[in-house]
Amino acid sequence: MVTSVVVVGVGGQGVVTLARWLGRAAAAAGHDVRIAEVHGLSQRGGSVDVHVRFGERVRSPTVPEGGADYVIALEALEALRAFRYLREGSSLVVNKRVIQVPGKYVEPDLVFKSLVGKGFVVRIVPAYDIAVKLGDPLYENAVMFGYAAALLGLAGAVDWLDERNLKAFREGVSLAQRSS
Amino acid sequence: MQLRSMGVRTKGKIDGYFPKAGELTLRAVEAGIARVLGISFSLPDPPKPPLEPPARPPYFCPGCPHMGTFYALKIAAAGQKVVWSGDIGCYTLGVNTGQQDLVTHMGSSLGLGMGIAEADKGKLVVATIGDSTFYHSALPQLVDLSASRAPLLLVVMDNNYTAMTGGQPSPSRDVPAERVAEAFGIRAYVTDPADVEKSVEVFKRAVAEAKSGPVVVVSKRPCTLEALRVARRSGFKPPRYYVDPSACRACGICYNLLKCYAISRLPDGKAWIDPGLCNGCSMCAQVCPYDAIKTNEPGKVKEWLELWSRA
Ligand SMILES: Cc1ncc(C[n+]2csc(CCOP(=O)(O)OP(=O)(O)O)c2C)c(N)n1
Repeated sequence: MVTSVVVVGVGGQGVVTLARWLGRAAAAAGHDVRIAEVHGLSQRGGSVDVHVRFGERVRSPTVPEGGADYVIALEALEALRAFRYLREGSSLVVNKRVIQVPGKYVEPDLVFKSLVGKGFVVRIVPAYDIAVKLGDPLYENAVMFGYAAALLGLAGAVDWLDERNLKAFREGVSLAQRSS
Repeated sequence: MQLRSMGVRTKGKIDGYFPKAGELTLRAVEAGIARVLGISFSLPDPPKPPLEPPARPPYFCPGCPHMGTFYALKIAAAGQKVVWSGDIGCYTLGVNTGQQDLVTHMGSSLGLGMGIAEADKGKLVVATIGDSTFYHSALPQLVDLSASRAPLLLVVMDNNYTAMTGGQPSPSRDVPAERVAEAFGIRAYVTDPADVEKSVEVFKRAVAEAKSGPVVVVSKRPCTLEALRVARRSGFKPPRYYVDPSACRACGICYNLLKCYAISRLPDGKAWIDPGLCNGCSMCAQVCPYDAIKTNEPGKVKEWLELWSRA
């Protein structure tokens, strides 16, 4: 069996890093892993999406539309954009953060309300708020990593994470454990 | 085409099996292969987002020095017919404020700009080029500029890095662009885009002088991302700015003209700064005519801009 994950967010948030961390955790757990950086400028505020597939034997790294088991979104507008990857029963894990597009302000409440009740398992994670409490919004991807890793059963061996990211990671793991 | 000319039977884009333009998505490839093989095949439509998210084109990072340079240029050249001769690098994103009319390849800004200045004397040509691109591919054109005395303004957007491709080093400190220009006999000025007033003044003078011959302005401030790396390493937390809603008059200068990615226009037209995105460059506070953009750590700003300028 292969698990298909799509990681999305905005350039500069650490989307690629989060996907690589997931891949590394999956490999450490003994899976075959393939990662594809599909789209995006990894800086400068563009949309970024990265595909991660792991399992016993993975032949292709890309996830088709309607083919993701999990979408991990570091940002809520990008979560909307990633709806095309979802299918019945998929989980959508979303950071509680909206990064506005200049000139196109969208009310954050509206965004989060729109995500739920559409037939997918939606989990809204306050990763940004936790990262700010930890001292830097930069850690939001590590919180999301912890949450996603716990959900995917990959939270075991991450001793390669540096100390501050590890702290954020643990916050994410415990959040996932409390909410499941 | 080559295969066809060799007599190999081919099917592909030319026959409409695959889209001629745009991305070869899995969906497009699957559908194309099915058609080639004559298999009936259909995929269910993917889920539609419950709310259509706005497109997200790339922008300057909050606090990008290029953003300040383009702002000052826009103000300084207001009322003139300008041809923005662009080039390849982060500053190509000046397209978002209508300040990159043509971009072809690395180093094209100066050569094409000179041609346009020659052909269309009624317009002001502003050629914008990054420091790395300047050293890598504009020096031959600089010889030409010196010899031809073409009336144009060349702006070297010197962020001390090859930012677009990931922050490789640039020789801009060892071989300052203004010295290069002067060595070629071209007048050069230097400014700091984070000093908005001074930059507008320098560009105004340069714009006036560019009517009669070549002028170079080197707009110097290191890439924000590199400065943030330096700050992080030294444990320095940059100050952040916020909008005082009672002072904001919804004029839009910050989000329309400066166009910082961290600044949003709220439904009532007032500005709002995302605290998670602000990098504390202070440019928005400088352009706000109502002093509505403030920081809780005014004492830190100078220290930050200094640390930044050494990145
Ligand atoms: C001939 C050629 N070589 C390499 C590149 C890759 N490339 C894209 S932008 C760039 C340079 C960007 O540096 P700079 O001009 O300093 O602008 P910055 O991105 O720092 O603003 C390079 C080398 C290219 N586009 N064309």
